[in-house]
Amino acid sequence: MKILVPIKRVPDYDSKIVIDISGRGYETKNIKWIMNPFDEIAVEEALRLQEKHGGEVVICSVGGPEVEKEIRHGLAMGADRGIIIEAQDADSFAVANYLTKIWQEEKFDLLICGKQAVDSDRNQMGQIFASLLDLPIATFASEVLVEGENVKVTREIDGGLLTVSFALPGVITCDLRLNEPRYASLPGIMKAKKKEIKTVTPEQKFDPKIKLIKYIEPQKKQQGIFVESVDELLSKLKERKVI
Amino acid sequence: MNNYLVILEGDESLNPNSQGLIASLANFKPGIFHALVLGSNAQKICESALTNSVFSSVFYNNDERLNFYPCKPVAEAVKKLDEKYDYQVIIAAGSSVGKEILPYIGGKLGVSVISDVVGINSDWVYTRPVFAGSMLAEVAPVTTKHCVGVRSSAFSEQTLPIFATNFEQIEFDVFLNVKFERVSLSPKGRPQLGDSQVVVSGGRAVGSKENFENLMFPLADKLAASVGATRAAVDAGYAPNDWQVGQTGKVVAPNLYIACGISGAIQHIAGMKDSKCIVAINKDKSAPIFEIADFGLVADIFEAVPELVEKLG
Repeated sequence: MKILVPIKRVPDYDSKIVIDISGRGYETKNIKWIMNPFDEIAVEEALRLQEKHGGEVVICSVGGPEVEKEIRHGLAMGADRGIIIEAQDADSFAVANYLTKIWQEEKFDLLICGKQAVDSDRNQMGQIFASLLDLPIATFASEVLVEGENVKVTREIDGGLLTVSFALPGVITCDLRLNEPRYASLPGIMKAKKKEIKTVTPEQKFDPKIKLIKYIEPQKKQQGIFVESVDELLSKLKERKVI
Repeated sequence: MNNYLVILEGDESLNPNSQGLIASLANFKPGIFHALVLGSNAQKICESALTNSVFSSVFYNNDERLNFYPCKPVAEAVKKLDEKYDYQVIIAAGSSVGKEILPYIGGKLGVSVISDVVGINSDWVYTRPVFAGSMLAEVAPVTTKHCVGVRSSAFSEQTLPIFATNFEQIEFDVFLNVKFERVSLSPKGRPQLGDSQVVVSGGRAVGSKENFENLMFPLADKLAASVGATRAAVDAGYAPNDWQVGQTGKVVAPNLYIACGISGAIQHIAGMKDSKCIVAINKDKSAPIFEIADFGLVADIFEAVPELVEKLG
């Protein structure tokens, strides 16, 4: 199985996001950058599929030299090689389009990615990618089973769990409970240093399809109060007319 | 004249997400609203819920293969309708169906997709949460025709003009490249998240599936509430996945949210911070949940919750 895992470099959850002067960006000085946690789950799943079914796991990311560190982490987990798609200012639409070129050139069987990036929270890229290449897609996967050319995916949906199947090649986006990503071992980290990460420059630039006008700080909620007892809580809630 | 196509879902009738979606439509610029309903109950839904509605036309297809709204045929239906009516905006709810199909549809049409919208401003400018809701972004589509995914819980019900809705069955190629295998739904019997104006939620501190039932259910029953859970509680097996409230679970904004034994991780808060009144009960006074609670009670949930149930009468 030849698996393509696109990953995104995102700020760590603990990083405080501070809007910059332009209002259209945020301060990056004190940001700790990590691989998007959902993409890490995708890398893990790709590695597990490789362990069962053989093949190759390729990590790619859209950006510049700054994404090398996150790709290297995927290689340290066990992926075979990496690709940096050299482009900036790419949204879900642009990323999906850049990926189609890589996909078609190298003839992958499966694209597996996180369902959303925890910075933009857009939850679009995998779906757009699948639509561009007319590929079957199963989103929000909590379980993946490959049997020959057939893939069964259990998806987390509003009312419970839905299991669907499709024939490869196809696309899966990963949800939280799909797996618990492995830690990169020390030998893995050492091996990763020698694995190939090549940079490709797209022939065509794709402009984002979403224009960011500005960031806005959400309205600060009015400070709440502590109550001393259940009785006090009940009287406050009755006052508020919520019970 | 702005033309809109709204994708609706339901089983016996419209589901709460779709009802919330309809309520949000008053925020869009005036225009002609069409709807699309698919699956074996489509016609039933039209007749029970949409005979007099904001929609001048509702298009439906009863093919049961469409019950789970598979991307390819749904996009085919939308494309067919769009060729005839040239919609300005294609709208879906932030349901698991909406989140999957809308970007796929946008990709097929080659248009901008703005998902998880919590504000609709003039001139096609939208507000949406980013960074797990710790920030808002004001965004605009680049293409004139565009798709919008609406976070229904963010919009209150507004009056809409009502029409005697015209129902029309549509035919289109139902080619499935993704096949339905099986579905396992959480047992109904108590209101689902999004159905009730009260949510009672438990964290990992609840300790077990039995405790979840023994501690949370009586409180939920007293308040006719839905039951929610944190990711940690779901991961530990105390609650099913569709009870998860959070950035990547369900986002709710009920009148009352009672968080029991929940520390208040940013990802959980992202799913409930817009609740009108938040109560937090936690042993740990420094738990981050207290920063966003209207009323905080520092107490052991195993004492406070039963006391609350008893005193609710």
